[in-house]
Amino acid sequence: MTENRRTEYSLRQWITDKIFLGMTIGEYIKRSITPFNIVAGLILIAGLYASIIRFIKGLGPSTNLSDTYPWGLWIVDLLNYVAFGATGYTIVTAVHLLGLKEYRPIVRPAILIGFLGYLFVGISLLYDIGRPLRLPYPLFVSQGTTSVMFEVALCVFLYLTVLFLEFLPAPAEWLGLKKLRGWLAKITLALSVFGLTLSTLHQSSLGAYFLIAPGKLHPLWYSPYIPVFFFVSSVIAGLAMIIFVSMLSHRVFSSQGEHYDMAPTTPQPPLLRGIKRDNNFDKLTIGLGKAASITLLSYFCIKWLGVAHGNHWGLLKTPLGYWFLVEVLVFVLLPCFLYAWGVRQENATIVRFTSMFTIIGIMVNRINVTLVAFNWNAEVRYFPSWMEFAVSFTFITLIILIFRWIANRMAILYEHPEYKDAH
Amino acid sequence: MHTLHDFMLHTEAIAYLIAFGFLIVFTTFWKFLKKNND
Repeated sequence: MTENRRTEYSLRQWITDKIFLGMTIGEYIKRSITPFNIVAGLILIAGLYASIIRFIKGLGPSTNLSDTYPWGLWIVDLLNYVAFGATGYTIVTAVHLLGLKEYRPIVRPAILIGFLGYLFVGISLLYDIGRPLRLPYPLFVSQGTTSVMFEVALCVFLYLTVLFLEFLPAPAEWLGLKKLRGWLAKITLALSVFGLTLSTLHQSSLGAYFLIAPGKLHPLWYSPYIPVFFFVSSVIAGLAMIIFVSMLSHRVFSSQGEHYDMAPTTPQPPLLRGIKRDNNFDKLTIGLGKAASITLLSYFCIKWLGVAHGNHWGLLKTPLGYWFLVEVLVFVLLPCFLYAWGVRQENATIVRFTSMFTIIGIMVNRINVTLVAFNWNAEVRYFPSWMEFAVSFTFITLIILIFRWIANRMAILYEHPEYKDAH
Repeated sequence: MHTLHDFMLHTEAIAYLIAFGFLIVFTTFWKFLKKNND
């Protein structure tokens, strides 16, 4: 009886400490009522309604997709999740394979972004394919080994598993599973190599999808180099995303750091203190900016290689040509110089601002390839329904909320005191 | 543009020249940007 009561007490204490951050449920709910959470809640309600319509009535009543436009906003989302999920392999490769150990503080946020990005790739696909329950078919029932889609499906499935294993040390530390944590530390290098290999394959293969549609994709965007475009731009997306998320985390979790003081039983140090101890933050941001600047220059040059290869110079004088110039000059060349400027001035603020600009640029590129330049000469153009927008915003909101939930509880933005130097 | 040589000259070669040109522009930009010595 006493033993049972002790177990019950410790379980309750555990839930209070680990789930409610040392607060009572009432306090926790009270603290959760913020303008951000209210807006997030409204978006989730709209998304839930759209999801019900999508899964009960099907794609027809919930989307504006058609036989001409079978790929819509949710595929744009998917391409963006994969591109920004590149944060994981970019930083993991830099730290574990290239030996840039000074970037170790951003490995965990990078892996978490990658993991959530790829998780929502799978969830987006569940919404987007006509028969969601058949999602595992290409892997487990009928392998279409000659299809590029099979390669992407296999890579994404395997890479999501890799990201999960790379992320697992954080929950293992949170739950005090030292043995599992130790075992995971031993396979870090193998996971890094496997993750990089898989990413190189499927990031480029996503671009290769469009190789089968030379007649549908506008010649300025269509190129035999499109797999290379997708791969190089994913590195840019990964670097920009980690700069942006680091900046947000710094601000958001600084203001939330105080609630750790309210949880005396939680052994973790306040997040605020953890971040402040890391006085290399600006230096890391500038280093990432330097990498992004050079990668953007490479991307800019190979984009022109694509135009030159098809000898499409004349198309630059058309309305879509002007839009192509906007994409390449404003969203590629300009951030390249802005990053360089920020690096030379050693001004992390310029680099952070440019990262936001770059993120918009990558989104514009994926929208252009999937929607604007695709079926560019079709008479009827596709525009997403409100339910497609609702689901998209719901996914983005969920990614932010899950990231915040995890970062508030696990050692993502700081090193767990009990596992220092355990890498 | 009837021969492979012409094709290379008018298309890929131009692209490589663009790449080289922008590399020069970028390096110059990098080199002459005032480095912050604060």
